[in-house]
Amino acid sequence: MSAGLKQIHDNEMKRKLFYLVFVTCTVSSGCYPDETLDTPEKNVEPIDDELDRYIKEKFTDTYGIAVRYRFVDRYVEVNKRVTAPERSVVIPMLDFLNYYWIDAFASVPNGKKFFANHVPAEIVLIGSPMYNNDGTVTLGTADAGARITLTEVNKVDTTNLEWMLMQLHTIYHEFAHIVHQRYSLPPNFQEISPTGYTSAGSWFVLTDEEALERGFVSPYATSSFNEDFAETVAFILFDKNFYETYMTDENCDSEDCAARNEGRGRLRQKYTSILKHYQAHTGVDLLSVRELVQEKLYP
Amino acid sequence: MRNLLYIIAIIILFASCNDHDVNVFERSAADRAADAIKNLKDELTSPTFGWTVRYTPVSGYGSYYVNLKFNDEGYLRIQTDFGEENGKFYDDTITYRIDNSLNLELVFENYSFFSYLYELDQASYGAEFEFLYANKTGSDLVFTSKSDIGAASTFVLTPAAEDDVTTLLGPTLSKRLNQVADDFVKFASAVKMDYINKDLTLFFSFDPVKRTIQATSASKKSTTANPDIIDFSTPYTIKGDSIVFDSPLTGSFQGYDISIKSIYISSLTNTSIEACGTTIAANGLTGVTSQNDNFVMQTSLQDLNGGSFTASDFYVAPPQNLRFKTESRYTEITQDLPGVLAMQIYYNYNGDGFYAMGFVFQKSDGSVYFVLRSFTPELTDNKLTLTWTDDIQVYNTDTPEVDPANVQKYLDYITENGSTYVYKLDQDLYEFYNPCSQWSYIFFNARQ
Repeated sequence: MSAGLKQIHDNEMKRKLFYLVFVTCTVSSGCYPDETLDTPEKNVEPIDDELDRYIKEKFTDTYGIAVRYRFVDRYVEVNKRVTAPERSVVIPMLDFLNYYWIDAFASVPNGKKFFANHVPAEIVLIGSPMYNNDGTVTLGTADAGARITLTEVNKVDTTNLEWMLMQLHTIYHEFAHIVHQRYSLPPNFQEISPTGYTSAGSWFVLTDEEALERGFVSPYATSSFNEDFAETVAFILFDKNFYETYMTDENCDSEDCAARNEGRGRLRQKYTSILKHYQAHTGVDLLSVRELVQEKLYP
Repeated sequence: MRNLLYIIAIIILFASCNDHDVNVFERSAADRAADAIKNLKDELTSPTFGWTVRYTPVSGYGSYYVNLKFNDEGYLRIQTDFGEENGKFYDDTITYRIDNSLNLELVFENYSFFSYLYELDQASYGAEFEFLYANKTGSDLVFTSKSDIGAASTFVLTPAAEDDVTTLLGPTLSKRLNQVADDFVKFASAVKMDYINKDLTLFFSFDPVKRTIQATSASKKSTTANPDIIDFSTPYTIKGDSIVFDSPLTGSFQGYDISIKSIYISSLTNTSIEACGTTIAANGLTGVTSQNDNFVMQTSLQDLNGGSFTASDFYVAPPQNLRFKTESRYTEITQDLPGVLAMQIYYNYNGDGFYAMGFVFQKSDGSVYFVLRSFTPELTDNKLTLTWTDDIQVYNTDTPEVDPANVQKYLDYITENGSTYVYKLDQDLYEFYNPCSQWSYIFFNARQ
């Protein structure tokens, strides 16, 4: 058999084999005694837990947010170690989020619509810090705009400003990720401090001052364009001293001071581009949100 | 011929449509998984008095008796004798879940006693709150840890007897041990056990969380001269009002043959300790050893093993190791001492008689300098008293960036009232503690 004939023969065999499989599958599928799709519904247990009822009423039904507080290991990367929160801290934590996050956004013009359209489908509450194998801890994560994970919930204490700022930093940061995931970064955002970003996994060697000199609000912001965006949004909202630290130039008589002012120049560009980006795509004035947040934090 | 083969194949396929062959199992995979979960749940909820577990999260560390009562609604009552967090783990209720993945998995869904242990040492201790069901052995349910790396520990549930909670769990003893350990807020717990009918004192330190106990030294009650240094450590379990050692303490100490398998504690008494020029209220325990010797045990500043720090001439403590009431004051210290790298103790450095305590700093230009104060030491057992022999001296720079008064502040904290006590925490790791200021500095041997 020539090569050409063999090829034709093989093709013919494949066609027949396909036909055989197709026909037999089609015909034999009729062998099942009942063709109707009456698969029983998965047995969903009714919510009869007091905590679950609270979550359903206040979060799931109101905002469409599923709150995961019971431990499920697939919510956390396999190389991270965490614990579930205590039952007793779940409601205080949700009340805290309601007041400082949801209400702060929902109370400004266009904020309610923005929040409803961008709210993550899931909030995962972690009781402990999220311990990494390298000895660091992760404060929170946001996954594809659908899930925000908050850590150290067991320490909930609305009289502890340090804890509150840490949580707000996290939630505002992660919520900001949802904006750039939906609308990309502001135009030319990557061009503002293009050489300031750090190589993978090395952001933590920078000091706060070195980050500022490069035009970033924090060392972590230097880790990528997206983190830079999210960190800057978070600092705009929660940091009482944002303008003094990151916007207003010092009167300089040293090179270090001049370097800090150079960084502030870049941060002013980022600030302006972020405010415009939010206004253009969401209709929300971030400065109005900041004003509310600061009023709540420092009444 | 080929057509004949196709026809035969089709016939075979049609023949396979017989119901008996399509459904190899009588129930679907989902139904069988649900059955397996229900069966395990039925098992878990069946014992009248719940389950007793002797839980050993990590080999080489202590064990805990725990009573578990599962109910049909998904709640789990956990009773322990673990006194941390103001005793909230004595009697706690959380939710549990049984999952079916590769194995049946038992998950404790909320924070509990098990989570507390899991979180120790930055969640690397080795405890767990997720378990894989292994089998039923006799009336016991056997699980293995889902989260252990390497060999998984086992978790055996035994049907509890009616009085297990009262006879096995020892919340009263656990609380008493915590009270003794908390007499002084420091890392090293030091207690001394005075025998009533023997001229013998044993010195112990113990970890009430991981439940390990170390015998560090023995002396006569009448004098601490010529102590026996003991290198003994064992995990323990609280069983009712007794501390049960995994391994017995045996040996000849101060002329007495001693063998202790367990210690029964009968009562908590009020005692006092003379320190800082005053009388400090403390807690004491009375009881009897398994060798039938009565004793009085109380917290102690004395620990004859602490003086062994003199084996090295150079110690270093990073600023995060300087703690007030065991809480790190890193932020305050780094603000007071800009550029601080570490605290240092020179103790007869290089054998040339140089004794000094202070800090090493790095200047903004990268250069390193030292701010130290010389002293003459007096060491009695583990009590170190320093006499300053000079003012604070600056070495390696003429332009220090730190205020020497701030250095002196941290020297004063640890030497206040001449009451610096040294405890050996681990090989080459020592706690310097001042009960008057309540500061603890943790130094490591920089010669290692």
